[in-house]
Amino acid sequence: MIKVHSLSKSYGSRQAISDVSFEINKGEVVGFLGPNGAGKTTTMKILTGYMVPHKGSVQLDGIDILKEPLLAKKKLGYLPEFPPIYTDMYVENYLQYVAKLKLCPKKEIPKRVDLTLEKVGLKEVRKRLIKNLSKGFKQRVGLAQALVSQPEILILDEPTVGLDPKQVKDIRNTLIQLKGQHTIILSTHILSEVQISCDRVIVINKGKIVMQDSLTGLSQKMRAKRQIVLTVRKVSDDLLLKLKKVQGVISVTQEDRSFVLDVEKENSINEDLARFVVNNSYGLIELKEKSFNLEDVFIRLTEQSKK
Amino acid sequence: MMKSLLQEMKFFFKQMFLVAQKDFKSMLFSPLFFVWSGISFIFLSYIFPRDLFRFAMSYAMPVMGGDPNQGGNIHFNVFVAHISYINLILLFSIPVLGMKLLAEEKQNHTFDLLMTAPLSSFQMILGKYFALISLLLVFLLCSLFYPLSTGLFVEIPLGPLFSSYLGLFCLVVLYSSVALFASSLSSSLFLSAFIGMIFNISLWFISQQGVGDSGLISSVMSYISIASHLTNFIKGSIVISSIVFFLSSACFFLFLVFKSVEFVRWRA
Repeated sequence: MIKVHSLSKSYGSRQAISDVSFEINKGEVVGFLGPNGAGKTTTMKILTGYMVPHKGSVQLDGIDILKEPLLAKKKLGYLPEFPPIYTDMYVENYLQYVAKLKLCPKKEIPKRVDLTLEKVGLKEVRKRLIKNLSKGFKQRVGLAQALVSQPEILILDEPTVGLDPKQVKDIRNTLIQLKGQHTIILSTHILSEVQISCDRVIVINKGKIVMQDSLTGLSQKMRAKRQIVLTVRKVSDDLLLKLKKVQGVISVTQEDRSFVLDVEKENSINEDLARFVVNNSYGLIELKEKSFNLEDVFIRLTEQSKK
Repeated sequence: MMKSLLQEMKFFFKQMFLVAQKDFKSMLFSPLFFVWSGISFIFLSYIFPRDLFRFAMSYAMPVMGGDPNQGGNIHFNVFVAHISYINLILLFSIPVLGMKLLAEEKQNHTFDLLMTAPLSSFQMILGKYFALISLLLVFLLCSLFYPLSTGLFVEIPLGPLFSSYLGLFCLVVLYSSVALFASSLSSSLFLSAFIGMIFNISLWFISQQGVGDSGLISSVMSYISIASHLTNFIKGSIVISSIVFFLSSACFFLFLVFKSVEFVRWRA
């Protein structure tokens, strides 16, 4: 559906992105991850035809956006970082305007507007001025704007930035509902968002793609390493050495009363450790398996590329 | 071949009018337009009857003054003043009315919507340009009420009046393109209004005579003089070269707007 081939773009002497290539299949939801200033927005802007790259090509459903921008843009719904809303318009009129702008067939416009308002939960404010809406509602109007033309490809640039937790949850629920109806690129630096809704992640840092993998593949990679965090009440000087001798423990680091143990992957070491601590009366406070989330992957990947 | 060309033309105008319609409505119903047109019409409603009254007095009593060459001509004594006041109003207010066209889109990030919609930069620019011109056409038509209403009492020379208004319309065409250009330069409303005014004023000053008396320079200077072109219209003659001058200058500024919008796409 989306084919991006070695995109490069620089602003003056600063290289914003270089040699970015990826492919996204129809119906996939792909998280586009990266720290702030990594080149996410620049890539999004090129994908949507807002900007022209210095090198490379973008194909949306087989149409080159540089050669046939008008045709390609018909297939797109784009929610930029700041929702592009006319604050002096009514919600309903605004969506009608966008639908016309995106060349929806005239007869279908009222139906599509109704459907979109329903989808994003804006039905009760349809006759209100956008100016008077809360930030969460404004963001939803922005999302509605991207959806109203029922595009095949949906590009969302940080859709939950600056919202309160309840609003974030609402937007995410909407995103989950949209899954399967569109091919979605979700650009974000919030990792839990990706974990909830995406099939695949592309991590970008300093303008280069650092990693592309499916979420399951990613978590498998993560499981290759296993860590246990042990907290005790009484710490003696030799505890560190003793812990190292427990079978299955590879290495131990001490942080005050907590110990982080790198352990062998397939091993029922938890029991042994608990028994060891209790038998020696160290006073067990906590013993837990450290779960790896995207956050750790992300930090590791971005730090690797720094080196 | 012919059919596809027609279809493309239809598409072009459809999208352009969509933008024009939206911007026209949003400007027409904006508080700014209400306040501005209110103040302008209060001003004109004070000035016009005053001039008319003075003219009537001087007509009744030639001793009190009045230009012997043009004595008794309501067009030159009253209407021309009216038209020059309108010119003054337009000179300063078109940049203010037009400042939001592109600057506000950038400020509110709605520019992203236009740039990623199936809409070419030309369609967007022309749409906005025609929206501004249509808005000012409404103003011009309303202001035509003043001279026309005097027609109820006395006979008025309609020909020169309409050619003067055609001249005013040409000015609107030029000022609007300048305003749009100023608006495309920044995302600050105030700055774009200010730049627009500076441009408009410099357009009047650039053409002041006396830079050089040699043939070529002075003829170029007189050709780019807005005042001399407007004088043609006011005198009642519709000169093609004047119309061409206004249209071509407007096209020049629209071309600059286009470059400025495209610069965002190609920015390096």
